Amino acid sequence: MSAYPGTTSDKLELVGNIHADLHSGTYYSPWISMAERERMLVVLDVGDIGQGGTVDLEIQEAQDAAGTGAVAIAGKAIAQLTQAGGDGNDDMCINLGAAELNAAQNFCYVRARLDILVGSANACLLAFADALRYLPPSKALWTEEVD
Amino acid sequence: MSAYPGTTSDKLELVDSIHADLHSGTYYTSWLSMAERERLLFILNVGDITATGTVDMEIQQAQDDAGTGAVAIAAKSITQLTQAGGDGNDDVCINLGGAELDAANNFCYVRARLDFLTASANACLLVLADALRYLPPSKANWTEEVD
Repeated sequence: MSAYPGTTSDKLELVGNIHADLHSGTYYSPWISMAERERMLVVLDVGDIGQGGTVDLEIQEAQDAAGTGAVAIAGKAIAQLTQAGGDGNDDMCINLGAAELNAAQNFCYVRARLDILVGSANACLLAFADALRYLPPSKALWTEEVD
Repeated sequence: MSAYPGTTSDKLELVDSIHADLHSGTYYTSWLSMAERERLLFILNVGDITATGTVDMEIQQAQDDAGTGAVAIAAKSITQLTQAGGDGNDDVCINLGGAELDAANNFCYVRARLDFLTASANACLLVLADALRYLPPSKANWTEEVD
């Protein structure tokens, strides 16, 4: 028996995604509740960025799933990516802990905002929840999970 | 203090990726050693698949990082994705444990094989390692990690 029981996707929940495509404009993940999630990892994979294009990613918080009071969380943004800056074909991540939300003002929901401006860029975004407080991870966003 | 110390990327290592793009043909990750890794999670994010296109993913094992004896690992493959089958904009994953390799014959390296045949598809692949045996995860494949 392995000293490390279980699989990785038994611990890590896929909670949001923006599918791989040649993107242009502003994209958002759904609003994700942190009520039962202690940590999130938002992963951005970028392929080629069009000439002149810029890619930005930030995490926002809100008071409900409708986005009431939506505001960026300070310090939870990547440095802007550009092709000229050698940033094509890169992977970035943003870690977020529930304790970093403005709980005193009832901010309990988060989402990722992805801006691909001026030009286009191939990109995909995956948001994972880690350390769920009560329940095992939902598998709902996996179309197929091979164990 | 949080009851869940540390960040998710302090536990999970990004060990390889195939960046987001409109892919066509066959792609491989690098050969990845399982010597110090107990578990891997291969995550395939697929965008639109061209009407007649097919997408397949399997995990292969080999005896060294040159791919000696390369062979698919039984049951470590996804069901073929097609646009007609409603599989565009899906996420699929394959879990792999070190104990699932043919260790008796010195198979210690794995890689993912991605096939986009007939036509192209937007896709991105991320490989995450979990439960490293000795060392903390390398951060080398993150261009930026925001904590």
